[in-house]
Amino acid sequence: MSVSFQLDVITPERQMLSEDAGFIVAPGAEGSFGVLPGHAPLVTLLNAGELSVGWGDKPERYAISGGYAEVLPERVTILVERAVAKADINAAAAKEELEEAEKELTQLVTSDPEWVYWDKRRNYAKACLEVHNKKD
Amino acid sequence: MPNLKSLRNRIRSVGNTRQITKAMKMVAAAKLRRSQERAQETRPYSQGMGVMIQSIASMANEDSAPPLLAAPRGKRVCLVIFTADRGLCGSFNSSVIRSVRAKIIALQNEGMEVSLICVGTKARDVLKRQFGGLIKRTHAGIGKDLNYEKAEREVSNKLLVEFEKGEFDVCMMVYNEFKSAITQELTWKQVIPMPILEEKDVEDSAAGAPFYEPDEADVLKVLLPQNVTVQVFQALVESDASEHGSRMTAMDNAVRNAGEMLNKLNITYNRTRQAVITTELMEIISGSESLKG
Repeated sequence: MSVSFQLDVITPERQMLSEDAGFIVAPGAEGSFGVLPGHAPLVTLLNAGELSVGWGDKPERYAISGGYAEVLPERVTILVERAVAKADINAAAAKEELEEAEKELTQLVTSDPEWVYWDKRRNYAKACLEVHNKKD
Repeated sequence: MPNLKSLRNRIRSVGNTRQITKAMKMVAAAKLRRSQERAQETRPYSQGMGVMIQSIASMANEDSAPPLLAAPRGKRVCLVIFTADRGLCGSFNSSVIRSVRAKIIALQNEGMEVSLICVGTKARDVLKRQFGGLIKRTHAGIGKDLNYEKAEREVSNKLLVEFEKGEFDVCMMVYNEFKSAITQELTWKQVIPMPILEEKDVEDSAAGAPFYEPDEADVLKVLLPQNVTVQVFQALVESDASEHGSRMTAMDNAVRNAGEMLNKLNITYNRTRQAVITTELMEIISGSESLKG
């Protein structure tokens, strides 16, 4: 069995990653899951959270928004609306976004499409802060 | 023979026009580069999404299919028309509008009820004379600092809400797909309900049916509305890139034409000036000759 698989992380605005990876850990809708090469085919929803990608014990961390992952034995495709590498996270901006989103959310009802929009922003901002504050 | 002053004015105004069109060409070229990159970077996402949807959708059975996927429930069609907010971009707007006009008439002949959503004000300006009553709303200025969230909030969310409320049954988009700076391809695409392709993904069947988490229906429920957003966003960026490409070509032609016209005018001007000088000389000479005699 091969030791790596092709990993693509794609957002609507750009192709974030397209490389070989040894393993990933992604925030699935029903709990975090890890993928090694040769994983059984799986399609899952993703929550906003931390995606770690790596070869050894030093994974690279990314913050992602909600989206989908398609896992095949030799390829993993992750489609998310937003994604950012840990080093590129702007903590101040994320904090601001989180506060703004929370303020908006208090004024909206959950059935409003706007609520969904702000909820997504809140979760993404939270994920960014979480990843940013994590010590390796 | 035109007089010299009017020729001079003419030359100046053609020169100014050339200057303006040249500037517009430069601006369009600069914007094109960015838009083109964005259009190309959007494609992997929408393709990935398309593949995923197709493979799940082909497994969903007919009865339980969500409305965004099932066969249309009625005869009301909503057309989303992507044009520019401004003109001076060659046949970019007119080709879309021409095709829309033909489509509306064809659909109405089939007994469909048509409504229009204009993204970009040009379509509204032209269509309101003939089909004013059909236009539901217009989005202006969306091409300006365009991003995914804007497309989602301003266009696709409204579309989805209206679909849920049952204001229309089928939704089609028409836009210019970006091929290169000089070619754009007019594209019609149905987004609601999502058309299912007959052929199944070969790769997918080779690896065995994937496991869904949560189950297929839940994944599909989230995936489908998002797919609409992605399609809308894709159409927006493609249309934006096409607009700049089209404007650049149109302005390039305009610059060339103005240059040709300037050349011709300059020749006429010089000829006229020479004629005036010759006439004056003749008058002076003949005057002095007559004095001598």
